[in-house]
Amino acid sequence: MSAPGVEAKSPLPTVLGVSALVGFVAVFVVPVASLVIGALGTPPGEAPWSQGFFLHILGFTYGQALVSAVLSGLVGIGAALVYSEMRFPGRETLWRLSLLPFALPVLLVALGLLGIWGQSGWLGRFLPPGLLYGWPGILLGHVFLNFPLYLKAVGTALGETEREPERAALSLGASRVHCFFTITLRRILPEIRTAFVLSFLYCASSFLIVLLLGGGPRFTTLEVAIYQAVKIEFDLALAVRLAAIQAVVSGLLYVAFLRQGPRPAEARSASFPLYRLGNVWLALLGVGLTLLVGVPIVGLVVEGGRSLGSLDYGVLARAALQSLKLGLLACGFSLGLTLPLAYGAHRGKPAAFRAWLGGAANFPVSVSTLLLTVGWVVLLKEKQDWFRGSLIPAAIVQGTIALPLVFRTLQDGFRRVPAALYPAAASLGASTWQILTTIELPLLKRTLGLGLVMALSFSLGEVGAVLLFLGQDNETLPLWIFRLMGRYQFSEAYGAALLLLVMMASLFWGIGRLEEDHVRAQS
Amino acid sequence: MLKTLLLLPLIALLPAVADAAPKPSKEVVVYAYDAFTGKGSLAELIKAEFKKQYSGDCRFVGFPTEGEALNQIALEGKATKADILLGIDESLLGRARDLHAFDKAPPELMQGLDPQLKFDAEGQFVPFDYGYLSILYDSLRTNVPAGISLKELAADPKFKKSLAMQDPRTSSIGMSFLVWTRLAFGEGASSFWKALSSQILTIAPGWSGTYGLFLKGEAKFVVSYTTSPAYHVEKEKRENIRALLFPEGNYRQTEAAAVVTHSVRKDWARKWMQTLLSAEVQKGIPLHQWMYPARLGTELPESFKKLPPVSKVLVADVSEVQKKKNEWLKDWTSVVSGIRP
Repeated sequence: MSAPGVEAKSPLPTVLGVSALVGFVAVFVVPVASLVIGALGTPPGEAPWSQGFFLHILGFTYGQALVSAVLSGLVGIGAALVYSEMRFPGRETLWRLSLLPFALPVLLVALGLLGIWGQSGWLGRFLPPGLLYGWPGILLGHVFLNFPLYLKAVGTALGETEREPERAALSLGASRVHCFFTITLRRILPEIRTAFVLSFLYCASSFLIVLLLGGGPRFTTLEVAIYQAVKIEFDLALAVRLAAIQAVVSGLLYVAFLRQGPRPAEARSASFPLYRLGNVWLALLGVGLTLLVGVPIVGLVVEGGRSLGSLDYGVLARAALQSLKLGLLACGFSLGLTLPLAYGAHRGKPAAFRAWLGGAANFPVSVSTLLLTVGWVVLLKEKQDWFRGSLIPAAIVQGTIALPLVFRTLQDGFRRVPAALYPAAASLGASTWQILTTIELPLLKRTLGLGLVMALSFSLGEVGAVLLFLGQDNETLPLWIFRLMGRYQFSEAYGAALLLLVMMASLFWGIGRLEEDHVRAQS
Repeated sequence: MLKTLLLLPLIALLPAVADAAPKPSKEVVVYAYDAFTGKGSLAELIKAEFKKQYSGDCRFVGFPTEGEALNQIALEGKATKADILLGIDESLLGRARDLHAFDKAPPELMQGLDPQLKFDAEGQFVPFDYGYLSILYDSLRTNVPAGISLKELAADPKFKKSLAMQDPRTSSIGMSFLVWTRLAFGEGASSFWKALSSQILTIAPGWSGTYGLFLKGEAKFVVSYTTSPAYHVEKEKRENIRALLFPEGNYRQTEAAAVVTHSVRKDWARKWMQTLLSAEVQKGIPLHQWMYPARLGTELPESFKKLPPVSKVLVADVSEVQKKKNEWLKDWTSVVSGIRP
């Protein structure tokens, strides 16, 4: 793990890393460990599935996750290349709003996709009936939800790495394809690995998409079994044993893919178009992405637009405000914990400490969200009055769930900061704190903005933690949407969903603006 | 600019901290499922009536599902904050009983309620509303032969890939549908499901997903209640959403509530139960819950009066459900998925 110029002379990064680790233990390790310890002594009850079916579930869970993550990667990397290599109208819009699919509540995504591709959908009606249900639907849903991870990570990396070697190679006569595979791809590999592992694990714990777009119990993930164990049977001993399988798989993935050392130092320069993809490719990719992402979102907008006249705006405004508060809190919590963690994992010492921090921060992605929330419920079982109605516990849970995503984003960002800058600044007498605040953080502005957007998008569409921890009278927008649907008021629910969409879009837009202003102020 | 970005979350923290004000503790605490609560729900009506009838206060604590409300009571044990648990049906009663956490209701409480609805022989859970499961269709879109049976629906090639249903593994209405088929066909339920599996378009984790698909026109049929059409009559003035009554019978699902044994406000909790079952609250059940009220002689809205009466009612045997649930689920997953156990 160790590379020259990485370790700081001052103990600051280590101290920051250790204190963030303490916070991490409090919000993640304690609830999960208390659940595990409590469950280990009890034997699990009889499972409501047969052994043969369980083996099938295991195979399907990880098989579909692999295919989904690879396909999302192809689409996401393609989109990132288009974004970084081309200048076209709507380019910035695409970039800023591209996390929208990732942020929307999954039920809305599923209904949106079915509104377009279902057998009575805008486009699906021209296809053979029922074609979508099964593998095509599951893959479509997962690519829709996961390609933004690749687009954002790879796009940010391409925007922050230096492109001189490619220019040199091209001017020396290398073919564009050769140049891409030998130079560019190698430099964005860490981001691709990160996005791959994250999207693989998200798809492996997919629940609603797999059931609803799969169409039947043939398509069942391990998460469905965990849901049964946690919520229906309330057999925590069984749930913990199932979750252990998930943890082992993601532990293996982490060791295989994410434990890589920092990259060598690079000088920075502005990125510029290198691969002049032909207009035909651009058009094809544009049409593909529009069909995949644009149309379902337009579908939701149209559907929502129909009921704008009949909405209760007083309730909606309150719910929107509540969502906003919760989102910002979750974001603040997530970044507040992740930034020192990532910094410690980058500059702390010794090397083993850095590796441990990295492993710890990735761990939440390997544990089912259901298990984390039920861990909190068990831990706080007698303290309901203490937290009901307060936003803080929901924000903490959401922030913890988003932690691996934000951590990976920041860690990759820190690695892109040219390693030579630190020793250079230090030799001129700058303190570690000065280097962090005046050199490293400003260089990470896009990455920080991305981390913010990611944490925010996690929180804005999330309902599980909200349902568990928030009181009855302070519902967030997604919770209100679900309540409306639960009471037959689907058209009102779509109207509220449009509002949520607009809110998310303007937040993402605003954060994009902030990032950009900063770029301009710097240059 | 960068600093502004980092400051945003801190600004958000201020109002959130102010939000965490202490709650008054002298009120009846009701654990219920989320859809029961919130703005414009029956819970609001009950709250107002409780105040009017007994000058009492109550607070609803919502859980994603009624099963999780029960889980919470199991977790809290003697230290529970709950005075009432609401939303238990036939498929959950077995588990609720095993906790030994609920008081036997005084028999007077059942007075005036439909005696047929009493599904808890031990008398802890008192029914407050009920509905019949059905399969719904849109008469403008789909032609369904009059008097069609469940078996015929499952066999008709016109209806391939047309039903949206809820997963019995993850939802209570899905479980009720499974119980329904066991009541209607007994051991023949497996072959019924084999036939029906070709008619299933998709299976959602809960009711909202399926009903959304049905309203979108994606699914011709959806599993819901015979009372669901009343919503569309009342709120949308359309009569084309119809519920099927089958010669094999329709399954009745009953919702019940009970006083928690470790409640520290039992007097108030019992009064609250009386409010729940009072004529005023019962009158509000059809248009809030879209279910039938448990109190006999409750005035029904026009839209409910027009619903065709269910002639053959299927009722679950609670202890059989508890005993055989896992076996039925295993059989269902293997038949519908085609994967051998």
